[in-house]
Amino acid sequence: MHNKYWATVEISIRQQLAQKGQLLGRLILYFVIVYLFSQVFQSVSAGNNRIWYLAITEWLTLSTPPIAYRIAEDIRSGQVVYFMLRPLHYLWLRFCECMGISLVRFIILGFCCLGFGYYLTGAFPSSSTTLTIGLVLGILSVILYSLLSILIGVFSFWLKEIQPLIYLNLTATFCFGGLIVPLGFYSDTLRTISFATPYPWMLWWPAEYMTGTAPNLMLAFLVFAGWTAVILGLIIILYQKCLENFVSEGG
Amino acid sequence: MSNHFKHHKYHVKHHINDHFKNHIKFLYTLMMTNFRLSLALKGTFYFTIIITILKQVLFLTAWRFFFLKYQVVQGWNFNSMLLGYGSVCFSMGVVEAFFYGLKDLPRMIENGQLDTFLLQPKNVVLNVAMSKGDMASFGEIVTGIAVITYSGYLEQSPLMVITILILGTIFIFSLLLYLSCIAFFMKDSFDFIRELNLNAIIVASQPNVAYRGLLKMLTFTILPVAFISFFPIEYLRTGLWKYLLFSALGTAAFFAVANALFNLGLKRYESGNIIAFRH
Repeated sequence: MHNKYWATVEISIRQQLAQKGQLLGRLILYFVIVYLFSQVFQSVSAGNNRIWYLAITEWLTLSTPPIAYRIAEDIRSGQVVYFMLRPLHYLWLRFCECMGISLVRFIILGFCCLGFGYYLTGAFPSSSTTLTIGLVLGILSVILYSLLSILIGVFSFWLKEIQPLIYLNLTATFCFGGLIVPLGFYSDTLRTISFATPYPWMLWWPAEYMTGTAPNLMLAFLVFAGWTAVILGLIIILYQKCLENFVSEGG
Repeated sequence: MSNHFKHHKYHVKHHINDHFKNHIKFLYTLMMTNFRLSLALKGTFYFTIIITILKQVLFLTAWRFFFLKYQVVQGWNFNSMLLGYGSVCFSMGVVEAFFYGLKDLPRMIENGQLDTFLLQPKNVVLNVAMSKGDMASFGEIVTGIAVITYSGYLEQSPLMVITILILGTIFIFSLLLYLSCIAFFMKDSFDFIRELNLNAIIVASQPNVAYRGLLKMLTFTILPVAFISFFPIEYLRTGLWKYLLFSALGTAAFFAVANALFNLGLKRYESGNIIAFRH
């Protein structure tokens, strides 16, 4: 099927591949962060699993572009009006664009994750079957994270500045998602709070699964599906509401 | 001849004084304008402050559990980490509150919008930096102070903590300028610089005493975050003056490098020929 949305994905893949400098920068960023934090973990004699965990969570986080900024920019500048006149849904367009960029990053960073993780630990974290299933969880994680980013972007209809929300999202990813510090370190209360948010399912779960420590795959898929439905629903409702109230600011 | 020379010297001195006074007055006006702009949207202003504080609390909560499990990282305990984090947080808050324009610099370079600033008889870096301010960053300043107070270091050596905070602010200013200069040399780099900024702050605010080898060198050279966290914390932890000296000299050198890089980049800058007005 070759429709307009698929064409958007294709274009954004090509654009991402064309931006070699930016891609290289992201790879360097990945290596630097994983290496620095792996040193923190090594200095306290944490096991290899912790390093693999870190490599995987960073891979998933850095695979997702901050699409919220793009949406906010479109809304602020009034550009969104021009998209509304086209025969495609604005948010779907941005989502497909996000998927194209994510796909390139996900694949390249995925190879880096495997290679660098192996270099740092000298072994793979689990069997190839587990890693393959983990890969699916990783893709779902990127989709969910992108949807969350779109939801934040939609908020810019009401908020002049979405930067605080983006920072809050990042910090929530860090704290509730267990970006660096795994949720296993937390107290029961904080872990319960974390599991009530979508973040652990985007990071902690795929990473724990790929390092061979998280059981119950069915539960993960169910929660993924649940959170995807909730966030998607919120995006649709909020977008409809803002369309009703929308007053163009020019552009 | 001598009288003429004295008169000329007096005239030059007077001119420099006037120029300096005008500059200060200009910067003060910019600051107040930014302040009024930030307060114009009261809801967003308070919302941002609340979110900022919440964000810091969440971040430190995660690290608290890390330190509860491992207690000490190469001699640093949770309080050392709080000091480093508080210092970065405070400095970032000050720079964002008064010099937010630095964050927009990559976009200005990319879009060729620096012309407005280049044409004015003012210091370009300061002019760009102060063209925007985000007073909601007071949340970061307050959190930074609260975190440092909680760490116990402020009570222990208040003067030294203040010195470290001043150095930290100069360092963050330099860091933003330094990273923004990438836009002169790399096309379409706005997103990349933004992420690099964020990650530099992350690297700076972690227990970087654990860093070793090549990457330790990196935090001393290309991305010299050691000057804002490693050296000041080591100074307050051990009391050895050499650490404070390294921090001060390193920050000064980094400031000079960032400015030199900006001037070098300006030579590559291409005007967008855009008729733009300052907000």
